[in-house]
Amino acid sequence: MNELITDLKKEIITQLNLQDITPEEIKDDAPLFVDGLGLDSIDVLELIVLLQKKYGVKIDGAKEGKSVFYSVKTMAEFIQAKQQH
Amino acid sequence: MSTKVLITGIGAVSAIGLNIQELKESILLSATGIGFSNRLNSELAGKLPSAQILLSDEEIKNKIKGLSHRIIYSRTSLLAMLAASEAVSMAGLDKRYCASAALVSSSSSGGMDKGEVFYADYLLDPSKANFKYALIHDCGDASEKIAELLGVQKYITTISTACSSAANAFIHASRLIKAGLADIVIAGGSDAMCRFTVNGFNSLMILSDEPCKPFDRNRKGLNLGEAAGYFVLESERSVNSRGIKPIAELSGYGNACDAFHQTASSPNGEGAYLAMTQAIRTSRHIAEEIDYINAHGTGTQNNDLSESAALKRIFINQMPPLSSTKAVTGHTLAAAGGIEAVLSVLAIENGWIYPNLNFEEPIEETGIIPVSQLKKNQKIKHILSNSFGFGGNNSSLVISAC
Amino acid sequence: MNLSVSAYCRIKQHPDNRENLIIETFDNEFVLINDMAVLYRESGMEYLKYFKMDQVSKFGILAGEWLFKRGNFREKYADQEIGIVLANSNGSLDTDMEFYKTIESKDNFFPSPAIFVYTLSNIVMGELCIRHKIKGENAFFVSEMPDFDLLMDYVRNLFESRNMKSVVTGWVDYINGKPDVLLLFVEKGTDEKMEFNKKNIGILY
Repeated sequence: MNELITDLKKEIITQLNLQDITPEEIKDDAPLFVDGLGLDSIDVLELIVLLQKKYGVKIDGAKEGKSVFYSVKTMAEFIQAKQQH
Repeated sequence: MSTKVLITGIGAVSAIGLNIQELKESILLSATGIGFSNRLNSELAGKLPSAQILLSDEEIKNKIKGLSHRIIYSRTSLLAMLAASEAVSMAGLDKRYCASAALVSSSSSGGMDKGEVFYADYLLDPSKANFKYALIHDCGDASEKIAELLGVQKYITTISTACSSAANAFIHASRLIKAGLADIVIAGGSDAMCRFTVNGFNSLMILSDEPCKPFDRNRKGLNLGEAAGYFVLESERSVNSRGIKPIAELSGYGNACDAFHQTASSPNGEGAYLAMTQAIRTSRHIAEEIDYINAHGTGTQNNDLSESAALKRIFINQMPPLSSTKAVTGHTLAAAGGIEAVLSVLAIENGWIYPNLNFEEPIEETGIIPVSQLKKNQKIKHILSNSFGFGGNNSSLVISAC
Repeated sequence: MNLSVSAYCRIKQHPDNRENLIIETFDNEFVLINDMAVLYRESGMEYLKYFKMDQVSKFGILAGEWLFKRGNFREKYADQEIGIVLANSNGSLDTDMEFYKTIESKDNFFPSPAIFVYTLSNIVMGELCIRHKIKGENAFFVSEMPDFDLLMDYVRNLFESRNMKSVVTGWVDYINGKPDVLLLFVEKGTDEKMEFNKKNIGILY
């Protein structure tokens, strides 16, 4: 799980063009869509693409996205759960 | 004292008609252009409802007089030429008038329908790619092709502001006329559907997998469409000297930037509010005199809520009858302002108020209830037509009876 | 009516070294390497959204930074009192190609929403409006070559008939690594400023 989380942080930074942010600065549990990272609705969509592209996991709508993308940890948990099926 | 801007010709091609006559017939049948078509040969496009024109490029080309068999035209230019020549013909303009007229055309996808084919071929094998497709890729190509076909020489320009493009073309044309820089301006917009657009919109998750439901509580998104809508606009001086009767007047217009987000509108619809207020003000009328609103109403969660909020800020005492015609024509992007302005003129001419198809329950936060059946024999003097584009570019027009 | 250019920013490729850019304003002329992170730093802006934008928008925003540095424009004018009229030749072609890369192969088919959002000629204008809270009239033209006559007439018209108090106007073009930008801030005439006319625009360009 830890490896997945670290990997995920790196992917998020690249996919969302987050400049000047290191993986260490993103806390596992911290909410992603609050001031800190300044993510917006387009970023949710990019994260949906990321999940599909890199982890083969599909999300059906932006609404499901809200709970999945709460934090890096919830994203990792979602990926693991889906990959186990 | 500046001149009025008069509409003397209209032309339109869309999923519900290749010309004005067909468009009127479809309106009377309350027909919808939304359906399923796999003309684009795309898995995604085949699965999603859209308002495509069910003719091949070749079939559309055959409907336009004066085109060369040897030249390849993008689908966007073909639609543009068809609609623009209808408007010009209705206005009774021959090549002599067109030579000194101005042309303000608009598009957002331009020749992408050919460009994307070229690029795909090129990546596989450059020697097999048709470079002629690459040459007609840009947004200005349709403008050039219209100009060539109709003989416009004096002034040709292209506007590209996403979904507000055609409305902005009309605004710019009006400015040219009021400034005395042109007496006759052919203006409008055109956009053909292409895979690039379908995939792009799908990635934004704002396409509905069902026919769209503008202003409905359970709306799921928009349906794409393709169309072209053009006007001939003239100064009073030109109308008088040609001895013709104008069809309607472009009496007011407004444009403002929402300055909120690249693709979403602000919650209180600030840009929309500013554009509509400006349009009503420049028309020298007041909100209470608007008889019908042809809304932007795409059927997305965001637009319909935002536009409703803005409308409620302006029409405080009573909301005029309103509807979105996008459940009939689809969202035709740059052409939307054009086809909807044409529909507005027909509404004035025939006393129609259009139905907002697929509406069932109002949006909870605003409670706006659009018109759901076609109304006839209405006294329509002033219509407000909205076109709001990505990038926060919001435009509104007031079209009035003469 | 006298109109004047109160600030301008020109960004273009260095004629002798294609990896560098020349940036000019009324106060300064300097050379910078054509690197988006370096340019961001030199502009002094703190606006991380920059890094999510397409190239056209990035260069538009950069020019806007240098432009708005020159005067207290944001304090002088209300949101609706600033209009914006821009043009370019390539539309959003560079970004279109970037988007296409995300859908070009059936096996690696992942349309990118963040890129798609920028595949519009006018989106650079939207970004400038968001950044500087510009809510006045906005128009975007596409032409093969810069048509400063058109921009001038349009801008003049906004002042005369729309009572616009100020306008950001210019040319923001980019293709294949090469920016070609001239952004102007135009206000009603004041002394000692450069007059907003075709000759001067030509000089600045």
